[in-house]
Amino acid sequence: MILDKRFEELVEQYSSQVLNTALRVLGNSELANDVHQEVFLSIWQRWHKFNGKLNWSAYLYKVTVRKAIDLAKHSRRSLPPELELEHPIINQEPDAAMRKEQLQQQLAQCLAKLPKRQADAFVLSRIEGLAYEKIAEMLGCSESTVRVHLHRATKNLTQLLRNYLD
Amino acid sequence: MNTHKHINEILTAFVLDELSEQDTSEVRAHLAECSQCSDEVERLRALLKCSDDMSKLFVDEQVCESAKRRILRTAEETEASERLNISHFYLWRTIMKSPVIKIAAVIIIAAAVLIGFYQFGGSTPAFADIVRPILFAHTATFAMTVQVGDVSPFTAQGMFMEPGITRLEISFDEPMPMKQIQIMDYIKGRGLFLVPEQKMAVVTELKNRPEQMQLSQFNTFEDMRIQIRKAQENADESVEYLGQRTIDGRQVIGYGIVQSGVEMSIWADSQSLLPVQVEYSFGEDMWMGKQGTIVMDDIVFDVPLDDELFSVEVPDGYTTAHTMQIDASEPTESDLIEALRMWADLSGGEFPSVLNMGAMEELAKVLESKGDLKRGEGSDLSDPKFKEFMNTYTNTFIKISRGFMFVHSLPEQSDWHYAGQEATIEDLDRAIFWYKPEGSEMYRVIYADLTVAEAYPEDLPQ
Repeated sequence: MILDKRFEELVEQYSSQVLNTALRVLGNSELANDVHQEVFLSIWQRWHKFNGKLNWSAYLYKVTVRKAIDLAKHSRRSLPPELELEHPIINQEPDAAMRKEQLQQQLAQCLAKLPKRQADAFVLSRIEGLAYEKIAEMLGCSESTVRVHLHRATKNLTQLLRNYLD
Repeated sequence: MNTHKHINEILTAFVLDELSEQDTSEVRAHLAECSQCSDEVERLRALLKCSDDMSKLFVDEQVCESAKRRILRTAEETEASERLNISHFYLWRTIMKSPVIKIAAVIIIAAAVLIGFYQFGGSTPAFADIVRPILFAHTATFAMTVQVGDVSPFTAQGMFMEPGITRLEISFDEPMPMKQIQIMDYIKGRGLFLVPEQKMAVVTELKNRPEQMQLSQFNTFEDMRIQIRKAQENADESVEYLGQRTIDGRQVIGYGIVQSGVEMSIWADSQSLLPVQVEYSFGEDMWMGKQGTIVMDDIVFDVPLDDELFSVEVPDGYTTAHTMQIDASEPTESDLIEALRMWADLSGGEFPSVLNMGAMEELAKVLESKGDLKRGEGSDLSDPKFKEFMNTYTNTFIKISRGFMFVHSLPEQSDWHYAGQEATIEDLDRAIFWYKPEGSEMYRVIYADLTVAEAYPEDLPQ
């Protein structure tokens, strides 16, 4: 079947945004590719429902973050059991690079344990580096609320990752 | 005032560099002598370092090109659904811009504000100072800006008078510049909407108000007070210190509340501690699929106000265009079933694709297809055909909204699921909605024929 030109343009324009966001959350380009496919395919399947006025960049940030976090939650298979939160490595001294990687993987999984909007605020602000104003627009809330979510997310993640951050 | 507990509460703002110079110095001084707080700061910094490292990752250009090719190939092989029907959205915009829908939206917003004010609370002395004027004011005036979904924002001048009467003077820019006055008397359970230019009045009547909740649920300011006092009695009820910022050249300090799906922040003058701005946000997963923000500012307490401003009787010379009955009791499972039944009746047995306010666009399509309103008609309240349509539509809107409200009032632990997207009322054995009532091990399951049964988790659809 013939693709809608506007869909092709959408893929062309935003693929790099979607892939980069997914990679930053998941730390794995293969999984980021999966998120990219899932995001654009689900848009294509519901193509007729999208309003011409939609802010695609904002929409895609939100959807990508949600799908990446969801994938992180269900991709424990990629982690050996000793790296899971309930069984952190305490007695071993992994080298710095490995420790960093473990922490990033755990952070991705812990994002899935936060309320959605806290996770969104943390990823969009601290990982994507977006301004509060833009995040507020995306999440449909005020900048103050974004701050509240970010503070809560930071506190909660610090608690959840306590054994990895010490 | 800056005890260990207080400093510990603002450590996140400290590492995010959102404290004033004075607060920052106080935190630094405390860290020099408190190993517990200093360890906490180290952990917070390690977390932020980790996220900073993650933010530096980039996908290789070749990987990006290959991903693009892959998705275009897959999409080509996958059949897309029907093309966008612009006229449906056009109609929806027309309806959403109509005055009556805005009236309904204001009622919903008013309810949202009430729900939001439930959540005020706090245990730090500074927060208690900030909320004190709210606790003791007899009257108040304020400016309000409201943005809901993709409807154009509107502004309002608000007034409050004890016991529980509010008056809003609302200005719309679209579809034409227009002023509307809304008076709600929660004690009488009656509201009045006036369109001065057209000398038109719409009356709302709240029915089924729970006796015990007359004051606490339907009186914004009284409810705020009850909730603040309740929160202050509970030391564990915490609020988030948001640090300092400037509003209209004034230095303000802020506290935020995010709990039970409600988000609110209150900003007060850092010298006088009088509330300067209250912001309330509701996101798509909290307020039935519609995102929105309400900002209240220019707040003045204890202003002399004339009682006549708050009368809910239709003024002389006005015509009553419509009387709306609003059910104020807590929505139940039966309301959801009724909403689904109404939807199925209107749409030839089908169900909505989602259970939120976004689904109202679908309802607009259904009504259009039934020929109830043709595109481009209906921005004039005095048009009898439009009046008839809006009477029907508003009641349908309110009843279906109420069913959806039940869903969104369910706690997260209820584990609710909706699977009615592709079902019709004739799919007798198909489960379309299920949830776990509080304290129950079994789920309540609503089937497509709108019968209800109980089921164990292992018997639920996959």
